[in-house]
Amino acid sequence: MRLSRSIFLCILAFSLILFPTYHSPAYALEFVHLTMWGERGVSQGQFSQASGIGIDSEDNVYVSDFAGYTTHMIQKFTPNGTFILGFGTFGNGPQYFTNPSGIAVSANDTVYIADFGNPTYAIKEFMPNGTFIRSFGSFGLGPGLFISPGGVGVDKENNVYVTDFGENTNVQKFDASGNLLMSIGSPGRGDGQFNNPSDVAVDSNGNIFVTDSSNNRVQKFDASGNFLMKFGAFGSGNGQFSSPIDVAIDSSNNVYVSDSGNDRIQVFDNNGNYLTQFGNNGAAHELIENPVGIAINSQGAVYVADGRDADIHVFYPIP
Amino acid sequence: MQNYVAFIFAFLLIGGLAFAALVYHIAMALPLDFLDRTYVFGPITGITEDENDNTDWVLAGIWRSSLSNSTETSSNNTSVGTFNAAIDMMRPDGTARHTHTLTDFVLLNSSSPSGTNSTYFNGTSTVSLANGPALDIPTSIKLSNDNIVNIWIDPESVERHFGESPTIFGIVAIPEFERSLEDPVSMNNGTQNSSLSH
Repeated sequence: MRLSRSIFLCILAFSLILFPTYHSPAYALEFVHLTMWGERGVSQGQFSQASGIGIDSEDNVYVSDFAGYTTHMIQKFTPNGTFILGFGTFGNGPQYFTNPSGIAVSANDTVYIADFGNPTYAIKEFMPNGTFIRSFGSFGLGPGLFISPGGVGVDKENNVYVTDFGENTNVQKFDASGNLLMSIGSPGRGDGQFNNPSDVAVDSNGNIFVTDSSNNRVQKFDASGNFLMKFGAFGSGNGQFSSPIDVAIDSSNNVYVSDSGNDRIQVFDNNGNYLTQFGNNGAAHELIENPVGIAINSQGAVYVADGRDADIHVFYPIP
Repeated sequence: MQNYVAFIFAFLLIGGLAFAALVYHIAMALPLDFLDRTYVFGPITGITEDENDNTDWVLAGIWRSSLSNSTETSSNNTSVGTFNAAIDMMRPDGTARHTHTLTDFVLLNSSSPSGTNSTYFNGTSTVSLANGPALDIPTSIKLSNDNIVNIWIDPESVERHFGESPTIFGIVAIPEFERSLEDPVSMNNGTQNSSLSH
């Protein structure tokens, strides 16, 4: 009798362990595909390789073209995709781009763009009209230096956070003037360590979320850079990732992750609990493939750069 | 009773192994589709020499390309693959610094001679010069061992601005995947013992 009870308790404990992994909860949020724009090309509104997305205070949308034509490598659109202007020219210099990647827009509408291909001028700063302000961050290993600057995030104090996808393998925080404040992380698989960190976002409480791409997880740090928690592992189930790329945070501090290898966007609460996913069901034209950049506007609309089809998808939360 | 216990034990063992495999699978896949060497880029280096074999100009800059996987040649004056470069030039004493861009490369043909580990991409490009852009300049890009490109710009078409026999090299920068985990101690020491210091 005692043996049977032990076996029962063992099975019960085992089931409880498996439950969070395989259980599919009812979605707390649902999203509908609202619109899309863009295609492969070199004209206005076209992209060679759509990459990062940023949104300003007027909900205008900035898209970086990783392999863009030699002009207008950054394009600015209205919320519904009407082309406004293009800026960013190929070249070697503080104001020029090689391979623009992550974009973040601060509360005062300053646009920060990482240049993956030219770490000598790692982060470029522009005004909303495309006027160049300055660049900061340079090539190398160590504080304030980059090998492959990837993702950019800003906090409410307009501090700038940049991931180094390359050998520095960390996140570096700068003030609004480009002065280095701190760095987070080192190469590895442990807590607080990264393997190809690809993007960073900061919630309203100053907590820092980093997509740890090759470790297939997201890590959360406090405002001082102390490790708080991690969520995700390799896989295709709910809450699992296959090469997560970008991360964005909505007004409720929910965390959105472009799950590139699984062709979907996953949404988590601020503690990393899985909430929902979208982009991987619906009509064929509504599907996203290899999602890269992701950003959320003031209305909660989610903009996703499709890395495969070189277009932008807009999803809207169902009230 | 023994069969019952054995069944439960087997169930737990198999289930546990399946769970462990699910949770601890280590992803080795490249995280970004656009970093699968479709797009390559890196710094430029080179020199030009005068008639006395003295260094005339020092060349630097950056380049990027999507030619490595391109086998389609031009149609209606456009290429599937692209090649762009920004070439900085200055005298050995640091004076006369200026920049030329090589853009709008149109691939006319490509070849990979056996046994060379090199691929030649021949075409034309636009080269910015002091008097404005020079169009349809014969240009050849040689990619060797996926590590270096040699950029040849027809000297006669650009008034020998890059010298009589320009040798302009581009180093292929390779974003590191997983490699950064091999030597985490040295990485924490900044420039010490890192791959960049060699």
